[in-house]
Amino acid sequence: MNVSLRGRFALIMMIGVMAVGVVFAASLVTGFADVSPQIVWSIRAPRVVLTLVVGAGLAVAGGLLQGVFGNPLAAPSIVGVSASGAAGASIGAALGIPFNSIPLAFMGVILAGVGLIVVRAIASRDGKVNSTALLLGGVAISFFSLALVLLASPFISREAGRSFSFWANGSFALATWSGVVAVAPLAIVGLVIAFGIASRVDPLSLGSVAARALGVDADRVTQYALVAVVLLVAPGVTVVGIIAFVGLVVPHALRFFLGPRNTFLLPASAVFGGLLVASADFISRNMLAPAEIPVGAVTALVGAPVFLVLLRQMVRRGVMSI
Amino acid sequence: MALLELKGVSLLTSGVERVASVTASVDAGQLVAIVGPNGSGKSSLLGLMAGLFTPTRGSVLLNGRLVSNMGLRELATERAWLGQSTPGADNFSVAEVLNWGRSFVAGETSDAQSALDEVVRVFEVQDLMTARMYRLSGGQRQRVHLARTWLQGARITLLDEPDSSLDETGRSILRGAVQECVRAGRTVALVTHDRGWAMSEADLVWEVCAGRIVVG
Repeated sequence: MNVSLRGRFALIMMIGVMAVGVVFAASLVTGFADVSPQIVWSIRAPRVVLTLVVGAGLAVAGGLLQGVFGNPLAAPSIVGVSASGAAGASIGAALGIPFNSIPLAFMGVILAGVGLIVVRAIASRDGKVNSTALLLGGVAISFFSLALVLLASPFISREAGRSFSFWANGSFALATWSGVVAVAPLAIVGLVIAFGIASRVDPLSLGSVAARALGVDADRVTQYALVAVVLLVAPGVTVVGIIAFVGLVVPHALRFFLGPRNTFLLPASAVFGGLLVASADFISRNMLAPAEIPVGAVTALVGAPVFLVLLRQMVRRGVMSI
Repeated sequence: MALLELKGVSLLTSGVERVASVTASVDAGQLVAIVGPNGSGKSSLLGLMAGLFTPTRGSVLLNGRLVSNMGLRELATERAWLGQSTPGADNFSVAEVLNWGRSFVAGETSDAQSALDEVVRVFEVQDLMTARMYRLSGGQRQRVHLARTWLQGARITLLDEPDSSLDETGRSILRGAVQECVRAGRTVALVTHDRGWAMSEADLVWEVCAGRIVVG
């Protein structure tokens, strides 16, 4: 193993974990110095925990999708996982299932799973996934799913309407410990699967047939990866809505420092994905306080320029695969 | 007993019969050259021999065992395969790509470092080890993938047009490696359009036409 890579990984992880600690502490106390510890515990703490879990899930899912499909543009919001999870949440809410609940998380998981299966089936031929078809299929599934969200919205009860409004904009404002309970266990299972298959995702960059020739069951690794992606993304979407760019930008940015090996990339993505979303939520609460802007707007404002810079560098180097 | 046997093997994909009722066998230590026009089914035949495609009819046996019953890790220990063009892995270093040759095969790896040193020397990729794959020329990339394939240490190595992107030096390196491999008692089967190489060095030459071995 490359010693300098290990060293870089350790350094980056240390910086990331320390930064997460700082943002976590700042998020708990900023602007709330005069409130009781109980309010900090019951309102602020679940919110920060959820930003870390959701951010970690989105970034790891993005890294996995890019790895298994060998496509640097693959991300949960682009291949349709986020939108189909959102469709599951809105249909569930229309059926009376409350936000921040485990049943709604499962609705998201089911619809996101169906969406991903459909996209993969459309983009596959003779066991090979066509990258362009994957992205175009994802875009189509996203539009279809967002149409389902709109169609379901009139059926959502007046009591749930306020929650729906926050959720549809992408916000952690309504985060509770029940939301954490709905998201975290499934996300942890997703993380365990992702880290478990990480080293076997690497040779998939040679294509599934070449990976099979090396002794890697490309189909099985891809199936595990897709299950992990759904578990990492969909439950979070049902609680906080769609947050774009995290899954796209975080793995890309980290590849510049750590290279493409998923054994290092995915754990680092978990830390920095959590850090990015926690920071974005902190900014969204404090930039125009007491007004709150949607956290998805902050991640897009930061993520889009960063991604464009990374994209430009990839084009200049002529590297458009993982 | 033959090392590899094809018994009435056919392959049908997308309604087209790529391989039609092929029966053939290869012994240990033989060099087999598969020649024929484009689209004649050479690569499909090689993929069937590698156990990468499931035959529509017939069976493929490696050491007397059905390839379809072998696990991928075990199969990777027994046979190595390199496709006609290997995409991707642009951001990985040469050392990381080479490492895949030993990472996923079954069995002990105590001699891994000496095996790595040997193939790195044979394919002359010593100076490329820390380079990212996207920085390499097509020929250099092919030598890296050949070295990775050799690292599997398999009894039979299957190569699909391995010389197509190589210059004269690269071809000479490849031919030397193949000769050495066969001399060591290992088997090599390769698809090539270089009939001179096939006729002068191969123990068996299979001429493939319309999915059948017409001469062999």
